[in-house]
This record gives sequence, structure tokens and C-alpha cells, in this order.
Amino acid sequence: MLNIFVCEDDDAQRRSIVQTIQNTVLIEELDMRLVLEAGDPYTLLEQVKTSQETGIYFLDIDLGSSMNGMKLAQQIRLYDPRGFIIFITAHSELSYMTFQYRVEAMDFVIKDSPAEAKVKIRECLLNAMERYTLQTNKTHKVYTIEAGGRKISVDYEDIFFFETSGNIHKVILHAKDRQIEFTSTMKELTGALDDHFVRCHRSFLVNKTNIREIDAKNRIIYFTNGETCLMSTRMMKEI
Amino acid sequence: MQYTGMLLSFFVLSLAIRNVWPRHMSLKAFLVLYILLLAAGMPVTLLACIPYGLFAILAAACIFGLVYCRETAAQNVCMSMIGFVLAAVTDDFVKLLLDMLLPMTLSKLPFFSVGVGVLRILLFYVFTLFCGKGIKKILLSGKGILRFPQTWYLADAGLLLLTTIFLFDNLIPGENGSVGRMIYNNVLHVSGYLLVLLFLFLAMRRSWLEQIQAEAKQKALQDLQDYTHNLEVMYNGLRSFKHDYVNILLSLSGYIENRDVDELRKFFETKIFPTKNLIDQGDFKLNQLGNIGVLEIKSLLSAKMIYAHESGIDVTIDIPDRVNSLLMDTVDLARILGIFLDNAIEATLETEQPQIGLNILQNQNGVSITISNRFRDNGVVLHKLKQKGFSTKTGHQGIGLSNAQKIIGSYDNVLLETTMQCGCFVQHMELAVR
Repeated sequence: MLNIFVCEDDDAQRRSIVQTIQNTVLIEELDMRLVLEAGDPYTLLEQVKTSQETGIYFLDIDLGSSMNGMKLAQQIRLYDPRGFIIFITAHSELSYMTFQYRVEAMDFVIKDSPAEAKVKIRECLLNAMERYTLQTNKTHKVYTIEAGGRKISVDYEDIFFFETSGNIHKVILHAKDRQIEFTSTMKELTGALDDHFVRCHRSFLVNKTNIREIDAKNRIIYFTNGETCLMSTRMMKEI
Repeated sequence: MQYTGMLLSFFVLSLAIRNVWPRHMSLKAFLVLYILLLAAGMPVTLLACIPYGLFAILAAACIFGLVYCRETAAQNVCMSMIGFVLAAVTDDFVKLLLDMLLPMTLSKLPFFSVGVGVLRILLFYVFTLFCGKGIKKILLSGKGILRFPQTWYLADAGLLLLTTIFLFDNLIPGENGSVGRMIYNNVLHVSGYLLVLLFLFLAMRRSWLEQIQAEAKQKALQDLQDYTHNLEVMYNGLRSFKHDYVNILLSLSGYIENRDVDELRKFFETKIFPTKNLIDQGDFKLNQLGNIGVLEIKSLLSAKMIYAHESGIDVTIDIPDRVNSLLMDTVDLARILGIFLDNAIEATLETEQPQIGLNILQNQNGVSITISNRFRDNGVVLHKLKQKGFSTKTGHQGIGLSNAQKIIGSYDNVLLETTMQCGCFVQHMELAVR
């Protein structure tokens, strides 16, 4: 069961949002319920503090209060780290990225056009439901890199291999459509990861599950995305 | 016997050079080096004119360093000279070690001497391998002035000069054959040369750093002028709109008083509605760049963003907080951002709806910079793109991205994340406070 919270200071707009949400939940038969609709962020926050379950939050950014939507979202994150935060706003100039980075917002509904907003709200609800079921059904193992107070997480299943960089103390993570170069060492990584990861070469640490093929003669490992890495004879038996 | 000794000593020398070589040296390259050294070193034994022969070996190593792995040519030469010294020192050290550990009588036996020889080479290899690693770690860290090729060339010159002094200018003899006196004289002699070199080096370093700074300043000034000009244009547009606004209101009230709805509609559609575009243009939020407190970076970003905007790209700039320090060397960061933005602009212009986003966030423990762009998906995969020498454009070397990565790599506090998802290419840098 997912709890839905709505915070919007304009009564007419709030009614319209709530209506859309309730219609969607009914038609799509989603396992959700509207817990609270409020104009005042503090009322909402009080409720969130006592709630135990994961929530979906539709927040206006300009709330006509001392607390704006961004600050409210940051507070909510403290109590519900896995909740889905969706911003509803007319401020189209505020970019999505800032919200995503600050509070890991799931999406962004622009209310300039009511018809589009309705479609978007529906999409958001369905999306949140899908993610929620995925999260609860499967325990993703995640590798987390910390830098400058920010955390970057990569699913184990997306990782192909780690490679030592040409620069000392740096490692490159090769993942699906993604590469991250960060400060670490092979030794640290081997300790932090599980036994799906094998050191196959002085400068490579590979994810066994994503290997497509091993060319034992030329000592090359092929991955499912077409990338390759080297393998040393000594460490060959490990794979 | 003499020949085998020669072959062996050159082999050992090439081994040492291989161990201190900046990059991994393939077996083929190693053999080429060995043969080159042999060819150059022949006269030493055959003609017995030692100084010139030694110099020929040195020259051979230098040429090899310049030709093979050209991008690190200066480092190659320097490291191979260090390799010479390392070889000489290690060889003596290993010899001494074995002489001390093994009893003299044993080494007279024929089979045993072969074993000792093999052991000697093995020890030599291990020793140079470890020393080489240490030296490489210190010298090739790419920090500070070691990053510049100029420094390396100067170091090469210095080392070559020193060797030449030793080979061609005879050492100053001590009075009455006193060894202590000789050492004393020669140390003075060489330190004189070293001092001259040091000052040369300092002078070059200084002038070069100044040149870089001056160039960056010049560039920043130019970009800043563009930025102010653009702001002026935007402001003037707004001012003329303000002026028109009153007139529009007056005409509107005229139509309303006459209750002439048809004319009012016509007026609204032809005169008022088009002003929407003027307001829309205000979406190009260059003023957010004002939040960046580093002048050089601000001017660079504004120049690139203005260029992108003028090329018809939908530009989003989002810098919500004031950013006073970008935690990296300004010149380095400017180079990186320049490369990333150029790439983004070029790539997104290939699409039908070109779009670029720049996002700079001040976090608690650092700054994150994100540059995103839409791209045309033509099947290029990320790991191909990241390779050095890969370019989507013909006639380009494809070194931009790898250069940027090299610079980022030399900073311990910078993380680079590259993603390519849903038609969006994102370069995300996380700069942490040290």
C-alpha cells in the first residue's frame, strides 16, 4: 500500500489534482490511497513524521509559506528516504536536474496546461507503482560511490567491470551506458563487492554474470555490451 | 666470451629501461630497443673508443624514446636516461650482494658461475622492476609542473648535458693524485652546471606560467565582453517592450470602450499575442551565470552558451546558488568545460530538436557540474566514444575527450560520470572539497 500526499496552496488547483489522482487510482485499481491533501506544508510534514509506509508526494514548489516545496521535500526525505516525490509547478524555468539531485525527485509536472498535467499525473502514479513493486519484489544489490557528499548508486547487474585508470588511485567503472571514473583502488573494491566479482587481471575486476564469452587462447573476455577486457593466465582458473 | 658478455650487458640495460618506461613496453618494442642499443654499442668493444661509444648508446636510447610512443616522447627520453643510471647502480649493487653472500671458491666452478649469472639477472630484473615502479609513481603522477611537456624536455636537456660533461670533458684530477681532492673539485664543477640548469629551469617555468595566465585572462576578457553585450541586447529588448506595453494598453482600452470585439480580437492576435515570443526569449536565463564567482569560468560558460543559443539550440542554464570556488585549477577546469561544451553543442546540432543543459550545484561538500545534451542515436556505444583517437567526425583526431579525462584523472577529488541514456548524453562531474 502506497500513501499519497498532496501539498498545494491554491484550493482550486488542489481539488483538480486530487480529482485526477482519485480517478486514476480507481480506474487503474492501484494499491494506493490518498492520505492527506493540504495547503500548508507543516500540516503535511506532521503527518509524514507519523507515517510508517512509503509515500507518493505531489508538491507545489511555491507554497505561499515560509517553507517552499524544495525545503519540504528535503524534510520529507529525512523521514521517508524511499518515497516518490513529484513536483507540480508553473515555474517551467526551474530545471528538473536540480530537483533530481537535491531530493531525488521522481518527476516534474508542469501545470501550465491542465490537460497535459492530468496525463502526467497519471503517468507518475503508474510509474511509482511499477517501481515500488520492483523494489519490494527484488532486492537489488547496489554499489554506491560517494563523492563530495553525493551518492551515486549503480545496480550490480548493470556493472560490467572495473578497470584501473591511467591515473594512480583512480578506477573506472564500466556499466550499461555509463562510465564513472572515481578515486578508489582495486583492493578496496574487491573487499566491498560480493563474489560475483572476480579479479581476472592486475587491472580488471569483472562481473561474472555479465560475461558473454571468454577467449581463453587470446585471454580476452567479451561482455554482453561488446566491451572487452584482458585476462591473465594466473587468474584464469578463477573464472 | 667477450661477445656474450656484451650481449648480456646490453640485454640487462634494455631490461632496466623497459622497467622504468612510462608506458607498458611490448616485447617487439623491447627487442627493437635491444638491437638498437647493440648496434650503437658495438664500437665500444670493437673500436675501444669508449666515450663516443657510450654516447652513441645514449643517442640510440633518445631516438628510440622520441620515435616510439610519441605522445610521451619527452618522458621517454628522460626515463630511459634514468634507466641507464638505475641499470649501472643496480648492476653494481647486485654484484656486490652476490659477492658478499656467496663464497669465492664456489664461483670458480663452471656450472655454478652460470647459475650465479642467471641469479644475477633475475635479481637485477626484480630490483629494477620495483625501483622503476617507485620512480614512475613519483615522476609520472602528472602533478604540478610535471604535467607540462616543457618540464620534461628541459629535464632531458639537463641530463644530456650532465652526461656529456662526464663523457667528453675529462674529470678534473685532484692535486698530487689525491682522491678526496678530486671528488671535491668535481662536485664543485658539477654543482656549478646544476645551478645554471636550475636557474634556466626556473626562468622557463615562470615565463611559461605567465604566458598561460595571460592567455587565459585575454580569453576571459573577450568572453566577458560578449556576455555583457548579450545582456545589453536582452535588456534593450525588454525596455522597448516596456515602452510598447503602455501603447498596447491604450489601444486595448480604446477597443473596449467602443465594444468592438472583432477589432479587439484582430488586434490581440496580430499585436499582442506575438509578444509572447519576446517573453519566451527571456527563458534563456543567462543571468543565472551571475551566480558563478570565478570570472574565467563564468566568461567561458557565457561564451559557449551564447554561441549555442545563437546556433538555435534550446539552452537551459540552472545555477540556483552562488558558487564561489570550483575546487580545481581554473585553467584546467576551463579546458575541461570547453571540451565538454564543444562536444555537446556539436552533437546536439545533429538532432532535430537541439537541446543543451548546464547545471551547477553547490552541495555541502562540493560542487557538481552537469552538462547534458540530446544526441542523434547512430549506434555509437559509450565505450567506443571514450577511446582515444575515436571521433565521429572525419579528419578529427578525437583527442578532446581523452585530454579532458586525463586532466580530470590527475585530480583526486574529482569524479567523472558519463551516461548515455534515452537520447541524452550526460557528463557529470562531482568536485569534492579536499
